[in-house]
Amino acid sequence: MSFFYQGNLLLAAMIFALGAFGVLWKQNAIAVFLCLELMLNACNLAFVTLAQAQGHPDGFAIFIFVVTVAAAEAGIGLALFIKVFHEREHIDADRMIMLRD
Amino acid sequence: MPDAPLALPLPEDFRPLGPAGLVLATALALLVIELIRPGRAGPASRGVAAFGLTLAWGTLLYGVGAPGETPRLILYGCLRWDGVVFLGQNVILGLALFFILISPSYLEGRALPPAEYYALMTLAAAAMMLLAASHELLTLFLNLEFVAICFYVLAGLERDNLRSTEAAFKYFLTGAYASAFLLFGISMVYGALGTTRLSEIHAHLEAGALPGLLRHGFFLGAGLSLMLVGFGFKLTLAPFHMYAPDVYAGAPTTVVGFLATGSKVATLAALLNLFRPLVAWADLPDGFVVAIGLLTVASIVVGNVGAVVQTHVKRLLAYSGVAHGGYVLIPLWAAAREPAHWVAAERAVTYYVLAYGLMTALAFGVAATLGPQGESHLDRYAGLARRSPALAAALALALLSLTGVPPTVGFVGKFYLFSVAVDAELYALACFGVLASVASAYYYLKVIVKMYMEEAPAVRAEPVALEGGNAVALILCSAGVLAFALFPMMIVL
Repeated sequence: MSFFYQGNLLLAAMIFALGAFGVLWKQNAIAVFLCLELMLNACNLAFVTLAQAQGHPDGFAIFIFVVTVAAAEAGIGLALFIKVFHEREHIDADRMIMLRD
Repeated sequence: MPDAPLALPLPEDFRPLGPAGLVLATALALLVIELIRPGRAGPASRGVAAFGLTLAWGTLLYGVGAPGETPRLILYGCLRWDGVVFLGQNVILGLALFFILISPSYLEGRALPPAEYYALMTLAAAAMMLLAASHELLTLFLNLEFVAICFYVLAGLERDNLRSTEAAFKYFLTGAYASAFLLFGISMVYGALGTTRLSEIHAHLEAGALPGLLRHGFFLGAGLSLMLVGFGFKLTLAPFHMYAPDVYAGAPTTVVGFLATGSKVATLAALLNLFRPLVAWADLPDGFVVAIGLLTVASIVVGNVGAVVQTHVKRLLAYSGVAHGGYVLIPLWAAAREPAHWVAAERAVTYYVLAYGLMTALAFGVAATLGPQGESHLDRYAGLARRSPALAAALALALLSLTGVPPTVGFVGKFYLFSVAVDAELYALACFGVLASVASAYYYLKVIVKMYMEEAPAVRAEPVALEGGNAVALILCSAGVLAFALFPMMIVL
């Protein structure tokens, strides 16, 4: 199977880097979570590309499971953000300083 | 991939999974109980949880029994059953029971929903047991996420406590970040080796050939380093430890105790499974070995320096955990540099898994038993020896063990860790570890001095009796801290 898998992998790496930067840069928890999802989906792209390019179906199975885990994490995370918002009226990661030393 | 039709797993494959399955069933039963009697399930929950965990532990010790000499791979090579996994699962079950026994007194007067709490702790225990046995990268990732998600919820479970919610918030965001790095690392390893089963990876690396698409050694090295980021987070290794002091301070103490002990035990067992094929690789990239070394040294330095200035009990224990993560990595670094010492390194780390679990659980157990006066400022520990002598003694034992004073399990554990370094002729590393342990005596003994030699604090401090489940748990744990030091041969690997 010959397709330009290097392009896909490079794209995955770039999206991952973008997401990684965004997690550190963004203030709002929802935006941070969006960047986290970007990172996970970049990994998914890498898995599927490698599975197709290597002719090895394991990557497709991994993709399904990772999507499921991402969905579960989304459920937990958003419920947590709702709880935080109820308590503080904001979900800015930069303003969570109650536990600082 | 086999071209033949997929064979079903053999029934005997499921025997080692029996105990984990029982714990899982207990967790589900607890959720069902809460469904049937919403809001009134508290007392029944802790009974069911304790019973289920004890049953699972009995099944593990007597029904399944210790594994034989040769390790077994079960479920298409996704899980491994050997002496390390057996010990790890025993330790995890012991820790789970310990914290379940400590919980009832801790939950009184706190707005923690009991049924969900016990269900999640039990679920986390099942996940840890599976994590310890993971021998394939996707299984590893799934189990790590399983444990992590249980703890994201547990950390924030306390209602009307802003610190608990904030702890869960920080833990969730940083945890998901680290998992994404782990996953990307796994994808690069998959690309380099064409498989995610560690047994096949071992075979490929021993032969020295990288059969995947990303054949250049750089990709495998980079993938492994990214995986190390994920593991570093879970084991609170510097510089990925930053979440730990905040999360440990904010989340409920029993939850933190189980997180600090059980999840690290399981992650260390998984890390051993991961390192086994790596040390068989003749061309392990120097960059990767240097990365491990940096993690080791940074954790020891940051953990000890950070703990020195702490005045908050749980933060102190968090930094102590960072330092101990560094110590545990010493034999692994030695094995990465000198692969001939892998067997000794594996034994040392496995023993330390037990040692660290026991002594840290004891410390957190005392803090949880003391309730509000035990989980914040260290000044409230002043004069504890007069108010609650049994608890002070237990905590003193835990702290002496963490320092590495004989005849405790902490001393024997560190002895094994450093002797691997000495055998591999890494004398500077061993000296560094020993000196760091000596330096750590400052902040551990500071607490003991406070308990035994200072007057009671100005704030009214009630004596806390040691009774009921707490007594059983703390006494057994203290006995373990001493017994496994005097008779390490009880652990036959």
